[in-house]
Amino acid sequence: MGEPWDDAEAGVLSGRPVDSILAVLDQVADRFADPADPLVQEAVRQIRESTGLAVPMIREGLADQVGRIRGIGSLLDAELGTRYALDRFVERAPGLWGRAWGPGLLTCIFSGNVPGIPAFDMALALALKSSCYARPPQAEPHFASLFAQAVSEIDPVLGRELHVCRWAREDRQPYERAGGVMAYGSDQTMSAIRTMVPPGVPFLAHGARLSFAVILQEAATAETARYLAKDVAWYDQQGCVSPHVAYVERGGDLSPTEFAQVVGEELARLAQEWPRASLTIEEGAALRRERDAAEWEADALFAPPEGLDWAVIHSESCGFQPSPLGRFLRTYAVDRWTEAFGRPPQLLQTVAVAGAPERRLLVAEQFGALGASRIAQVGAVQRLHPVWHHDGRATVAALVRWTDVDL
Amino acid sequence: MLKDQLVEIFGGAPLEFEGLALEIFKFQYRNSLPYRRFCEARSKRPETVTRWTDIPHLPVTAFKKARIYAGTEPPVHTFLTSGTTAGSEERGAHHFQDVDLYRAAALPVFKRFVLPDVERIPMFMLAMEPAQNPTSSLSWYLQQQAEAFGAPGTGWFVGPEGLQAERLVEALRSVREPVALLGTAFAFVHLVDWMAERGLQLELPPGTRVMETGGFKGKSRTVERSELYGLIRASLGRAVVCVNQYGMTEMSSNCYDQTLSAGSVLKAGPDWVRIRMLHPETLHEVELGQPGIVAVTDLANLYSSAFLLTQDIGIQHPDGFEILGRAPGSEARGCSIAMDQFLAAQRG
Repeated sequence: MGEPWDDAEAGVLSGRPVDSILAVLDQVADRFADPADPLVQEAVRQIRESTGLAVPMIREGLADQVGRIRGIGSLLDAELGTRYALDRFVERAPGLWGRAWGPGLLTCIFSGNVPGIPAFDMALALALKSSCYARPPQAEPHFASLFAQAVSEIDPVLGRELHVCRWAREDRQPYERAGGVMAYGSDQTMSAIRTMVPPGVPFLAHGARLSFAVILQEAATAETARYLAKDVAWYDQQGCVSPHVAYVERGGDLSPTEFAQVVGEELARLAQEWPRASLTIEEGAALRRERDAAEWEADALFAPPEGLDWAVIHSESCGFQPSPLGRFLRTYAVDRWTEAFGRPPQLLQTVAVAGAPERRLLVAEQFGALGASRIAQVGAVQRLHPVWHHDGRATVAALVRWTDVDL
Repeated sequence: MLKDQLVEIFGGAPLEFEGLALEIFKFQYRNSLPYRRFCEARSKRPETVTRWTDIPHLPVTAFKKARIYAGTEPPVHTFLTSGTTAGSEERGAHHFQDVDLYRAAALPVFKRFVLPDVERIPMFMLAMEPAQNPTSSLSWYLQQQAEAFGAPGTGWFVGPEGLQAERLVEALRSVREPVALLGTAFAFVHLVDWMAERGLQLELPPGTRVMETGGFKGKSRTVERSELYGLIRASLGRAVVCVNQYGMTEMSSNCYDQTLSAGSVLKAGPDWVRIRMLHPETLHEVELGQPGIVAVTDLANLYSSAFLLTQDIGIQHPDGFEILGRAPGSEARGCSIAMDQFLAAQRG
């Protein structure tokens, strides 16, 4: 405060110390960690109604997703050197001082696969002392508003900077004043938005991605299989980090077939604990087709005798075919994990790897070279580190603008 | 013998559907090992199945993966599916022990739904001749109709290089009486596009009919059926009546729009075909008016499988059924990739 350049930023949050904003965000995270909070109960109820996901899953997921905003301070430190670059000029290198400016207005377009996702980006906008236009998905239109409400109830000034609205897809207005645009969805949606983002405005597009799991020999245990089942069941496998397939090395405690069987048993158990959302007729027909085909193609099929609640389709030879999702996992036996190379050649996102730490790093090195942006722990693919590079790219660093001063 | 019984029924003899369906189930269970295994996996055996609706429906994908054949002698002919399903060049095979049986079923159905009002008619085939495409069941089917009901002027207008549009339009110009144009939906798209590009329009005589079948998968241009019919009438004549055939290589009998036979666009088939819509998860029949997966019971499929589960979604009404389309490759929401998209990226 008190420096003349503080007023250069037009937004009402420009004079607000970043720490005071982060403190409010921590309080918001606290609220969402409390399942008895009426606002959280309302969020769970609304999400349940629109997505059909299991209530315990929504609860746990929401606490996780909103909890990530506690890490925004670390993310700012990691990508800006220090969060205080948003408050004042800081020494960035000998002889160079710099100050970072947020986008002023961050426009966000969310997709409906993972409830709670809007929390992080909306909170990030505030931490960057910026307003946020958030377009929630049709599939889950309520959470973003409830999150804004939670912020408002703790800090009305901050809350006023969050605008949640399902504007028409072709409406250009939300992009015209934006200093940054962030979007999730199909590649088609990304292309459509790209045409509306003004030149020079950063556009962080999170289009379709593909994730899978690698089970190294030393980790081919029943415990790992149960963890993997949980990764598959989370959000009914609709997250971009949800594994479509798993490559299982031979030679471990469990053979790949046995491993697939245990994954199936755990999916059967989870079908009780976290019942899957009901399917549209198209989804049901797609799953039926895949399941029926598997009966003729697979080396082993683990699935309920009736119904389509889950399936593990096992192949003794290496291959790759994406899952129709809805808790359908394909497992492929491999002698060595390197056989999985070149199978899903593009659009790679998360590779969940179970194995000894030094081998995991080796896998990370090789899959990283192929384009993977994250090597996750099996059983924790949905637990996103706040400082991770989403789709392999910086977020904050891409959204801010710098003023550097030579001394 | 089941075959003789069927031929009589195709000729108009009374049909006791349930009894015959159960007999055919028993026959196919005994003679088709893949089908028997499929039934065993569902604990369904002829001794325990007492209602025809409890007979397991074999997914049509099985025709690609296994030899679905219940014949007692080697097959005399094999038709192949077109193999245009996304990402798969595999082709399903439908083996016939007896094409006489196939023909006996094909003729009366075609007559009822496509030619209810005429004995013979010139047929313009928008399909390849069987000699050029011996594994196409559509070509074979049209050939049978041409022999039974074709009038002078009947000809074939698709060659190895595609639709012979110029030759076809030339032939249509001299038409003075109603004709039938029969072929794949995509060939009709090609024809109307070709005519539109050249600004050509014909006004074929009232009574002229179009029968089209098949989808557009893997083709460069996809149009809605209603749009296609509009384009056909604009190009060939306002009085042209269009009828869609619902059939597939894996079936011996077909269903049709009842436009010509009963003035309804809902589809129906012969008595020996029953269509039921099943819930994808439970495989129980859904209520009238609700969408489900189309399950076909076609008793004419004596030597393959009479009980089929298709990949189509449809709705049953009291007086016919409609087809909504094909189950998508996958219906992913949000940012995880959909299978069709993935396959498109692989091809791209």
